[in-house]
Amino acid sequence: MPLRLVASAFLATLALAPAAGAAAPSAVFGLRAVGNPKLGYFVYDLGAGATRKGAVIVSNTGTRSGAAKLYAVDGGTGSTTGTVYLTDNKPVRAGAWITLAESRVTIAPGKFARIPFTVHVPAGTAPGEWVGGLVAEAALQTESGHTTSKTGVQIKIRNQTIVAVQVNVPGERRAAFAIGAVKTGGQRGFQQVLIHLTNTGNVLSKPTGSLDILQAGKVAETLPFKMDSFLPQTTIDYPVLLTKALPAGDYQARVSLSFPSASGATQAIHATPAFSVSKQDVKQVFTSAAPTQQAPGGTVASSSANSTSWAVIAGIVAALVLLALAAGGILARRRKRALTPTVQVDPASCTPFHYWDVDYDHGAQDGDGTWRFPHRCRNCGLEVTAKDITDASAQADAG
Amino acid sequence: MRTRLGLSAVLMTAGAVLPAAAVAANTLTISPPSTAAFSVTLNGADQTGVTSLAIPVSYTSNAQNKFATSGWKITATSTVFAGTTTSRTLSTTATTVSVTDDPSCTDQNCSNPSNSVSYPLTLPAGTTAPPAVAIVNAAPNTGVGTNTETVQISVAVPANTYADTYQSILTLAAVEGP
Repeated sequence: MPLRLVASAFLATLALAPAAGAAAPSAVFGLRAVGNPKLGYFVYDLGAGATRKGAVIVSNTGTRSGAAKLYAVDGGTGSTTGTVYLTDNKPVRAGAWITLAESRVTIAPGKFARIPFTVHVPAGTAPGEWVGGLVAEAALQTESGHTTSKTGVQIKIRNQTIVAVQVNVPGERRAAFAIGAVKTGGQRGFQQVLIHLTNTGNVLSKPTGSLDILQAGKVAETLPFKMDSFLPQTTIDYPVLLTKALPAGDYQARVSLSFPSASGATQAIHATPAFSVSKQDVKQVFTSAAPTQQAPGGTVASSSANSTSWAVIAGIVAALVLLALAAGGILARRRKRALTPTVQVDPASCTPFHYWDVDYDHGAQDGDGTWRFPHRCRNCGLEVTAKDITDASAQADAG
Repeated sequence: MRTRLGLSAVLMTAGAVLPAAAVAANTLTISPPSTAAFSVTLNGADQTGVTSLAIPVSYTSNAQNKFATSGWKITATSTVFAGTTTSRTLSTTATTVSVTDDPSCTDQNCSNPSNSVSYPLTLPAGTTAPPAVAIVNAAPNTGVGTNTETVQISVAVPANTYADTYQSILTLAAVEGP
């Protein structure tokens, strides 16, 4: 382990401190919903089997010409609520109803393109509010002139702009939610209760609610919450941050959820699922709080002067550490090298003397209380267990 | 008249690129850097590496931005950090984010976003990027003009992490929708 740690520290220290990602000239794409200047996204009332044409404007407000990839996606509910878009999945719901006339467009800075599309709602689609989206995504830049190739943690950033396409299929509207199991989670000192929730209705909703934590029938904590958009037919584990930590034990959650019914009146549902907090749960949340924070990595868009300073400092530190590790490494090789079984011994190469590597990490006491350590000759590969190199040489010479 | 009609027909063609003078108003864009990087020197203890992204968010419309009223949000998801040499990965819950808004904004009738997202927020991560989460939002009638959102990204690096260069793809999306 010591050797591994040294090697690890060595390798990781090679990495230079914060890359300076001063914003390079690039294309920046925006979308505009043609015909919906105020709302900013599309809302269509379309019956099952109907088709509607629309258009979206893709603009480049950046400083460089660039290509935007255009595609349609399904909407979903993010784990903290709010509509999100499944840009890494093939659309199977509302996103699959949209056909764009172009899948890629190249636009000069300050220019824009008008891209038609159609929305076709399949026959037999159930009534309700369905959400898809149109995405314009800039090409992923694989290289930046301001980052180094030897960095411990690298993040490449995809830049997308999305406008929603909401399709309201006529028919009976039904607002309904289901409250499922409750469990605990969280990390780094922040304990959460996760409530399994499903929008079982067919309308978008922004519920409000409260969570009471009960232990032995007494309320230990009351936590109100207010949600963002929750799409129909989606399920999430909604996290509620606890203000007081829960020790290991058995609890009951009293969950209340309020949302507007189809008629506009407020509707409420309640559930009281039981849950447990294990010692392992507590350990996971609170021992992971231990990490010592590195010096802040700095803003990626920091100035080049700052980045130069960082690079100089990092270079000096790296050089010093390299020197120290080089010296330490020599000593470690001489004194503490972890030995592995020798495959081949060549006595001829041991003349005129043995050059012993000693593994001080794997010593063992003999019956007389003397510590003996694995010794290996670097010249011939001979291995013996000895109390010191004199003892090792004596054993080697004895044959 | 025929000439003007003909020109209109050209402009309506799919993918037609229009001149700058007609650039559409009511547009939401974000301009994040293309990469971010930092290092952690392994020392046998659990650590957290931190970096920040300053992201200009432009939400403008015609009529001095008076049509930009619906609000917006930025969503994020990611691929799990994977070692380029060892192929080992960090935890799918290794990354948390928090966002702060620069109190100054620019452009006509600008306003700071009224943000309802709570922090810290665990950034979703997976081999394939899972569904995103909203990391910052602007309530209706807020977040108009150009605002700068600083996204602080904290990555937990456990003591037993193998030395390597770990890479992830962070997907940021500027969204207008319900």
